[in-house]
Amino acid sequence: MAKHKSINGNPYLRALIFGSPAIVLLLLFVMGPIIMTIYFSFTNMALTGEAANNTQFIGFDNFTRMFNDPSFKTSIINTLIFLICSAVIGQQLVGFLVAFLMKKKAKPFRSTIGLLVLAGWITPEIVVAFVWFAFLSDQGTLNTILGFAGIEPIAWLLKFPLISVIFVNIWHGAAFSMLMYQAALDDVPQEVEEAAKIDGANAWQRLWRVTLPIIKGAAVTNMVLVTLQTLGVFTLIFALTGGGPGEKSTTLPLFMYDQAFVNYQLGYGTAISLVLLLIGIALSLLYIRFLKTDD
Amino acid sequence: MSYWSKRILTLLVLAVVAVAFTGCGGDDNDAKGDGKTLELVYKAPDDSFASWMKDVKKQFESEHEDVTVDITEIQSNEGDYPNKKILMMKSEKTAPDIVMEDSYQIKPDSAAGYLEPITDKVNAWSDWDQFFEPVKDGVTGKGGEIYGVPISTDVRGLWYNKKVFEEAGIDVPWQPATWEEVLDAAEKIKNQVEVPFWLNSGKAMGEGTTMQTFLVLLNGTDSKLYDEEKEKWIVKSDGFLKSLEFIDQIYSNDLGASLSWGITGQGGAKVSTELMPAGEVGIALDGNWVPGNWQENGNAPWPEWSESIDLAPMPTADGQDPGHTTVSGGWTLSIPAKSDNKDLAMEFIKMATSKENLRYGSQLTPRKDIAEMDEYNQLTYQDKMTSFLEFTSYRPSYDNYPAVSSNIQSAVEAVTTDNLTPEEAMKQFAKDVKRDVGEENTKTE
Repeated sequence: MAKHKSINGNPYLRALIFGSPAIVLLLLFVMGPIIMTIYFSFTNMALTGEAANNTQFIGFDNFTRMFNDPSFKTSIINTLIFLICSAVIGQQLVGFLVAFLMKKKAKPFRSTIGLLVLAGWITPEIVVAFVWFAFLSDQGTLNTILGFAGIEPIAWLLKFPLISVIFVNIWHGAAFSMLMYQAALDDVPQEVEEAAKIDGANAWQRLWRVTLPIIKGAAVTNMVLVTLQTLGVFTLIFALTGGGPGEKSTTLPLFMYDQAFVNYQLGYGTAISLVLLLIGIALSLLYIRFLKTDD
Repeated sequence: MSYWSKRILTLLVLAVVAVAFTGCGGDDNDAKGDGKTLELVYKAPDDSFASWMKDVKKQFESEHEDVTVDITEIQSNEGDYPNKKILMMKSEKTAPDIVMEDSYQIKPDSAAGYLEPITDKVNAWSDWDQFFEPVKDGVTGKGGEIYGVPISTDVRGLWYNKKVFEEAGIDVPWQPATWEEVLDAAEKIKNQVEVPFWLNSGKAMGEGTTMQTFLVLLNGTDSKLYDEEKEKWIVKSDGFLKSLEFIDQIYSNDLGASLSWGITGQGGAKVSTELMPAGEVGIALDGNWVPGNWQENGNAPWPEWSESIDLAPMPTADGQDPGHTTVSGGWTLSIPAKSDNKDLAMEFIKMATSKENLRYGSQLTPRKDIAEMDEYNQLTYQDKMTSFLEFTSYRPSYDNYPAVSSNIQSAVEAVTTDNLTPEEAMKQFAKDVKRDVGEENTKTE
C-alpha cells in the first residue's frame, strides 16, 4: 500500500486531493466568468448588430465612454446612496436594535418578533417587490390608510423612488443583520457586563465601551456581507420602479442591465459589471483593514 | 453519522451531479436536421397569431405529409423577446426554422448574421408584388437584401374630434396641408377642450415619443436621421430643429397636455381611455391602434366612437411632396441563418402570407390585394389607415439606434418641459449622440 502511505505522508498533497473537486468547481464557475468578464469588457461585444458578428478588442473605449456618461455618474451616486442608507445604516442599525432589544427577553417574545422579522428575509425578492408595490402604489394600502386621516394620496414610487426602494430593502434585509447580531450578543460573556456594572458603568457606557468592542468582529463581517448583498440588488428595484422615473432609482446593476440587454451593448455592460465588482472588492478590503488595525 | 446514512448521502450527491450533467447536454431528440420538423417561434401571448398559425400548420402538414410543424411560443414581454430569440438563433442546436421578428430588429439582426437573406426567394415569388413598396423597406437589412416577409404593419396619424371641430367652425372632414394649419386648428379649439393637441413627448413613453411624435415630424421635413450612403447619424439638421420647434409651439402656446401627467408613462392611457371618450381632446397624433381601446372588449368600450372621432394624415411641414407623413413598424416572418430547413421554411412562410391565409387579428395588412377586400375594410377607417402605407417610412434601426432614440426622447422632453430651447436641445442631442455612438459615426446636414 505504497500509494496510501504517500497520501498520508504529505499533508499538502492530501489537502490538494481532497480539495480538488472544490478547487476545480471554483476555477470553472467563479474564476472563469470573472476572467471572461475582464476580457469582454475590453471588447465591443453586442447582442445584435454589426458588432455581434465581428467582436473586436477596443482597448479602454468602454471605460472612457463610461466615465463620460452622465447616466453612469447618476447611477454611481444612486448606488452609493442606496448602499449607505439601506445597508450600512438601515439594515445594520435596525438589525442591531432588534437583536439588542430582544436580548434577555422572554422566549415567546423573542421567537415571535424574530419570526416576524425573518418573514421579510425569507420572502423571495420578487414577492417582496409585489407586496410593497401593492402597499405603495397610487391606490395602495398606504394611501388608503392615509386617506382615512384625510391625506391626499401620494404616488410614493414616483415621487420618492429611491427612498421607497431603500426602505423596502431595509425591511427585506434587516433580519440577516438581526441574526448575526443575535449570535454575537449571545457570545458576550455575562461576567464582563456584570463587572462593568459593578464598576459603575451606566447602560449606555456598557453598550458603547463593553458590548460593542466585543462584537466588533461580527459587525464588520456583517457589514461586508450586507454591503455585497446590497450592491447586487436588482430584482427588487427592477420590479418596484424599473430604475425610474427617469433615472431616479437607477443603480449600477440596473444601468448594466439597460446597457447590456435593452441597448444590446454586452461589452459596455460587462465593463460596468467589472466596475461593480471592483467597488465590492474595494469596500470589503476597506472593512477588513479597519478590523485588523484596531485589533 | 452512521455508515448507512453516509452511503445514502454519497449516492444522493452522485445522483444530483449525474442529473446536472445530463441536463447540461440538452435534449437532442427533437428529430431536427432530418428535414422533417419545421420549428417556428413567436412572441406569446398572441391569440390571433396562434390561431392563424394553427390553421396554416394544418394545411401545410396535409400538403407535406412527412413534415411536422412545431409551433413554439416564447412567453415574453416586448422588451425581452429579442434577447430570448437572439439566444436561440445564435446556436445551430437551438436555431428555429422560422422566427417572428419585429421589423425594427431586421437591420441589426441581419448585420449580426442571425438572419438568412431571402431576396432571391421573394423575387421568384409572384405574390411579392402585392406587398406595399414602403413596407418592403422595413424588411430590408444588411447589403440591401430582404430578410423577412411582413405579416402586419401600423401607421400613425391625427385622430381629431369632429364635434369639437364643428363647434369651432372648422370644416370637417379636416385635412390640414401644413403644420401651420395643424397649429391653427389647435389654437381655434383651445378653449373648448382640456387637451387641444396630444402627442407623446416624455422620456417615460420611451420609443412612443421617438416613433409616434418625433420621427413622424422629421419624416415630414426634408431632413433625415440617418445617411444610409455614408452610414452616419445626422445629429444636426433643419428638419430636426423644425420638428422640435413644432413641439415647442404646442407646449409654449398651451396647446398640449398638462405636464403633471402629460409626460408620465400613464399619459397615453389617460388620453385614449378617459379624455378622448369624454370629448376633451381636440387632436391626437397617435397610432392606428387607438380605437382598439374603444372596442367592446377593449379597455374603455365606446361603441359610438366613430361618430365623434375621425382620422387625417399628418401633413408634411410646408406641404412638400408627398404631402403627408407617417412612420410604420410591424412584424415579419424571417428565417434564421442557422436554420436547417430554409427552403421548406420559405414554403411555409409563403403559404402563411398568401392572400387566402394572411389573417392577423385586426392588424393592418401589408398586402395590397387584402387591403381591397370588403371583409378587410369592415373595420372603421381601415381603408384610410391602410392608404397611409403609400407614403410611410420605417425607422433607421441600425446599430446604435436604441442610444440615438433615447437621446431623441431626452431632447423632446427638454423642449416640452421648457428646460431647453429647440436650438439648445439639438446641440445637446448632437453632443450626447457623438459621445454615445462615436463622433466618426455622426455628421451634420
